[in-house]
Amino acid sequence: MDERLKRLKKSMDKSVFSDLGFTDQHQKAIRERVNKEIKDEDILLAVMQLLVKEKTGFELVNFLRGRGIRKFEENEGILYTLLHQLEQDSCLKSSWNEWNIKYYRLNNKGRKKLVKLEKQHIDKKFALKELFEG
Amino acid sequence: MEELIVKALDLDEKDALIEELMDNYGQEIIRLVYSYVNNKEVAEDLTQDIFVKCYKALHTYNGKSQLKTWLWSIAINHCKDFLKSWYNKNVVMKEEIAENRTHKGMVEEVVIQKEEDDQLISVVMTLPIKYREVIYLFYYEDLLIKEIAVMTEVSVNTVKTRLRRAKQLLEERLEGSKNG
Repeated sequence: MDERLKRLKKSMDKSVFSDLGFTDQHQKAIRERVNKEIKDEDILLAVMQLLVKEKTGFELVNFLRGRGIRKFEENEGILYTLLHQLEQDSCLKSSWNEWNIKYYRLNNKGRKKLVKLEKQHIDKKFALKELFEG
Repeated sequence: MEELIVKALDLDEKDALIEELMDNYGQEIIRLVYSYVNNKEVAEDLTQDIFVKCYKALHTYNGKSQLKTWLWSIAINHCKDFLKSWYNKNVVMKEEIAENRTHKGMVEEVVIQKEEDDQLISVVMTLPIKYREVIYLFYYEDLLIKEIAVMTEVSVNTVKTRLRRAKQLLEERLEGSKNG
């Protein structure tokens, strides 16, 4: 039996696997899905990092684009939901200027939370780096 | 400005990692998946799901196992979830049974050529999953028993027992098909 099984790879490659391939199209489809699903966590972190300094929602969308996050360009509503959530968690301080434009900025609690998130993120990053270098 | 660059690298790094995983393991994963689902289209779909899932789960990788082992565990679990799913039981399997009779080449070849190797494959592909997976991982992928145990989330001894039992089953069934 063992002898026959040792030929399993060769014979599968020649028959059942001969027209089964992981193609460029598959890769492309995965890439597209991944881009669409850039993790909420990444976005949250980016938003919080950007709000260390006071910004308007509009500025925020632009800065996020600069980081490759395009999710909000078509649907700014999601961003405001996220900002509202941060406000609810009392991580944000918001204020209006004289033209009635709303500004957002992290407060103390928000900054603490950001430090925590960043630390988790750095741990992850190092783990990933070691994979390829180690 | 600095914070911008750091963060951008981060996202790029993840993207780079997933690209690397796809380049290195895409082919192996789709075959692995096929060994579970025995259907080309399903294998293609599930392989995509697996890489997306992997991307989303990158942060849960703790570095304790090899990255390959981690990826394989995700893939194997995904396949098993699929096999257990309502969709598979009610939609795919039925087509599968009808399709399998005339399954491109495979069955016909066995009938026409009666080639030992092809016969072995078709018998392997009809083994129950827990036996089929150890045969595949051990003989096709040439993995260590230790690695198979981690990937399939059972003990080393269980893997050994299943391998032994799988070979018995294969012998019985091959013997049976010869006489019948």
